[in-house]
Amino acid sequence: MRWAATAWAAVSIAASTMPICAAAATLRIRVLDLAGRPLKDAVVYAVPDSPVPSTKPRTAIIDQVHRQFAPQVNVVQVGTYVDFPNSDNILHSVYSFSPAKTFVLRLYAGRTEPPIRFDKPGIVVMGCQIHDSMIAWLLVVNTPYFGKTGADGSVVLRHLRVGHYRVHAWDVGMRKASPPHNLPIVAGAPPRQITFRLKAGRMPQHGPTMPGMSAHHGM
Amino acid sequence: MPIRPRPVTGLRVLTAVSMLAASVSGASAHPSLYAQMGGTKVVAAFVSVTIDQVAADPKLNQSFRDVNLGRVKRELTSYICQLAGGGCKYTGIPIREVHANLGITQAQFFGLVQILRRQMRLHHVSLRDRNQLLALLAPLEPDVVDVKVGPPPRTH
Repeated sequence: MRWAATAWAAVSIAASTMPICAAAATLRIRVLDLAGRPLKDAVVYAVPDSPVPSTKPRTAIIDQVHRQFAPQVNVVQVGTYVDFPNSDNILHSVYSFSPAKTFVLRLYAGRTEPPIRFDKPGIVVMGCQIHDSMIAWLLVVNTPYFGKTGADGSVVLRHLRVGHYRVHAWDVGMRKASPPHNLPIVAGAPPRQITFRLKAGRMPQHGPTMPGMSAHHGM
Repeated sequence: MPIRPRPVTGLRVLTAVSMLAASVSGASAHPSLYAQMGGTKVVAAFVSVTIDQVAADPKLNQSFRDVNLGRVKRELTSYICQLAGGGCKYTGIPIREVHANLGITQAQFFGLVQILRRQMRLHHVSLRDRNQLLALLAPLEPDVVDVKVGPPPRTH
């Protein structure tokens, strides 16, 4: 288990003077490591118990810039299309062997590939077959309520409808997201804050290992 | 091709064994250049050292930045295997496409060739075999040096 055994969650009810919509709530989430330091670029998402309202599929962008993915950490709702535009003028060959989506995509300079649709929830780890310094993560989540923490380790999720939510946090290096923090959102509630404490993941040095290929390295 | 008399060394015995293997398998009466050089074991070894040395040389390694060297070694070995009649089918990215816009100079190309020659020699590849392989690799120069190409046509 890479995550803390119990995600310590403090619920502090801030006195807010901001007007809130009776049918929608705001949730502020902080993600800290076990030493209490804020974790930047952690992913948080709140899955409602009630069915997620269907929306028109969106398109996200994961670019390739100076032989790196940009951004490296990504989160999208199930059904989202992701574009890989390749801003470098050299060839990249982006691949994933993650169960949530398996693909290989050759990205030539000057040619746009059709976007890839991510239709199953899960954690997709991507690399480049040519440049092993490149690695990116994409969390595909079954909710429109998600975000990535800033440098202060916090992120605000807005417009949550009334209902019960399971809130998860994830950081690079975790095999799966944290156990849920169960959170009811009631009508007229003030903004709420929850805090996750995660065992911070370590950045792998290289891209995901290609099955059956590791044995041939350094031949 | 004429077979010259050679001193019998451990490697020559190995070569003889692989020649025997080639003839037993019925592939050809004459061993391929790939087999003459010592097959995958020897080729993969001199390719590996060559790539490591190029990638460590600041004058030569500009195009190797962040590159997965293990993959380069596998692909180059497979390419040489195909070129030298070793029976492989190269399935990697076409040479011209993978070098596009990397800005490789002629000096860098020949710098790699120099290291390759030396490593083949150190791996006991005969002069004739070294020259044969270099002759097969030489036509790659325009597909490696200063290649500026657009994307290839779609195949699907």
